[in-house]
Amino acid sequence: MASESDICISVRGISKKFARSLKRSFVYGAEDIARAVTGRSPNPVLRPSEFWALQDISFDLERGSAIGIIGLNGSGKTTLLRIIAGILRPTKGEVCLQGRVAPMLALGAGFKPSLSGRENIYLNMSILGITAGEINRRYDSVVDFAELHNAIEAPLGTYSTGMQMRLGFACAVHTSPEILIVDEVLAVGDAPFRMKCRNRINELRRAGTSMLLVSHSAVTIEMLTDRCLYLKEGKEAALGPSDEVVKAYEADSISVARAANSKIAAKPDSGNISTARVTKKTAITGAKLEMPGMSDAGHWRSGEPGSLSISVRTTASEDELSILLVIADLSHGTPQNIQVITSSADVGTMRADGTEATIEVAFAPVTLPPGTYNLKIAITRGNLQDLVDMVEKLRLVVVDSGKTKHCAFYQPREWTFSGVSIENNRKIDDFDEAEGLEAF
Amino acid sequence: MFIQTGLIRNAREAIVLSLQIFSRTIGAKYRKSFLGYFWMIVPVVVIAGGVSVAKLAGTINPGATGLPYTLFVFIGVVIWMIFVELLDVPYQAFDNARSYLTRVNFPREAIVLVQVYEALVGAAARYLFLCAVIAAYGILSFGGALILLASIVTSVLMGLGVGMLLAPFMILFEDLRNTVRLFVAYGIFVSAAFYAPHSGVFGRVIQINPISIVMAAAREGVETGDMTSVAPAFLAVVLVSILLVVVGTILIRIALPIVVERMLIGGR
Repeated sequence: MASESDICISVRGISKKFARSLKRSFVYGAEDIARAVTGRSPNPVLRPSEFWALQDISFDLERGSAIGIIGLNGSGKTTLLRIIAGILRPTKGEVCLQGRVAPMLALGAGFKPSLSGRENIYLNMSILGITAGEINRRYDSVVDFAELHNAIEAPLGTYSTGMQMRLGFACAVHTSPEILIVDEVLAVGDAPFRMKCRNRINELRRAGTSMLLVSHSAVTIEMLTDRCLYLKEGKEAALGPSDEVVKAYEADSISVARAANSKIAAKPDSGNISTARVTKKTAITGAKLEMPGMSDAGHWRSGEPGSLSISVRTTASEDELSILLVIADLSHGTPQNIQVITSSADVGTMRADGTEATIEVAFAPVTLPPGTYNLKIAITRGNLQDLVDMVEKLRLVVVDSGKTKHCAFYQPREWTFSGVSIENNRKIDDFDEAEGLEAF
Repeated sequence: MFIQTGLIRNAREAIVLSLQIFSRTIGAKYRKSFLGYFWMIVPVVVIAGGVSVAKLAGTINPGATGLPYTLFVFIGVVIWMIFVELLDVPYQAFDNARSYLTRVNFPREAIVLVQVYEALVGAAARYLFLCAVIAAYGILSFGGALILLASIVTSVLMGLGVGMLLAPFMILFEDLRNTVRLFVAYGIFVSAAFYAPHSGVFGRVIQINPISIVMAAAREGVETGDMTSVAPAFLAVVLVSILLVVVGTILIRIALPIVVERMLIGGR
């Protein structure tokens, strides 16, 4: 256990409640102000429509190390981050911070579009707690980093979004922070600038800056952090070495996804199916994610074969049918469609003749990187693709198999060796961590 | 324990930060317009001019005023405008900073101070302008200028105090915000800005309105160089205004974290 002085963030029994109803939350706000003014602590019991967004969270962050916070959307990650950054007050518990915090969730705080880039640097860095003299000293370095030499005297309003974000990021990393708070993967500016940002964060990390990283990408967490807190519905589900916690998170994600999927695309005999679907002539009655040797595996492994089996019921003969698959990435930044696959384009349209049908599409190998995806399956008719039936919001979880750790996707490959031979099963799992960070 | 730092250290940080921000943003508000600082004066001139014309035409019967009517209205309108401007300062400061209040923790009182400085610049400009107008009438005395200054400072304190007490609740409740907006727009008619004190229920309401007391003090000061008849009431208003500012500052400190939390979920 580290000594007291080595700990830069100490979170002790944090709980936080919110109200679901907007109007009530304003009334409660007034009530809370009244309590605070009269010197009483926040009401510790739940009032109508309130819920616990966080419950009894504790952890320590040691100086120079990195901790990840992982969890599905709505698990309380951002709330926890805001409490640690001092923006929100916990209902119960306390946070102790030692050192200057650079919250990367506040890029460009206080920017005014009518003022020049130069003036905005002073504004933003003052709000982040830097004195005027210090800003003078760091000014050139900030402008260099943001690559805005030509535009620095122009009003900020004339900058492109990328330029504004670059300026915001440059200011934030020049506050010589001792603790970095990073929410999600930093997507700032163009690719070269993104690289520069990554490297700068790594530089700070190597110089002993601690980091708190929130993400729902298991791979990012595993790669960049030493320890990890897994939040589930506001409670601590696991806390420990990142690789172990991430495994627990992935296993959980799969079971959650399976449970959700079985409700959405239930077989007709399970009784869960919606009446709308029962009355349809042609309908999707089931979908299973499979892997070799594991029918109904419920997930895939990146870089290994996987398949999707779709059951379709037809009651009359129909022509020109096609299957449409849309896969959206939920793990890496804002959700976006990354695969749109139609069976008609791949192999031609189908004809159904009123029987139960099974359609299987095999992916050998699965090239999606590890993460959580949304899978939409639809049956369409005709060349304008009229929707006949659609199953939305199926969860597809792809787990890491060790082949896509530092990759944006799995590149299928074959190795051929002549003159050398492969040593028996001696795999080197990961390269040196420092180098790995650089490469990332 | 680290979040709850000492009050004095926090106040010093807020003042340093507010001065830093102010030194960068000074004039930004007026840079966007061609007439610039002129806009601090224009509304006063327009209202005073308009009301004077209305009086000449007989639409307004303000009663007997010791001062020339145009000057009488001038003083009233300046005091009123400074009051409502300061009344809106705390709310405006937080509303403008909404985007980053919810993302970064800093001495939040600083953003109110910045707006206060801006309003003070405006108040000072109006004060000097008013002195020039009074001098043009040939009745500017040292005592009068001093009492006028005291009245303007009082309306600053009163506006700021009330504004700070209301701001947290104005952010929480749109209804309150709308009510205050209505008062700012039409409240001038229940003040003594346009009328000399007269009898009747409405007259009484106007007279006991604290801002009317400030106006009366300023006018008497300008007219006589002294303010014997309203001195006790004026002193009471000054003390209450100072008290409002103190209580308002404490309330803002306590209430802001709670209010910021509601800003996150889309509160007004």
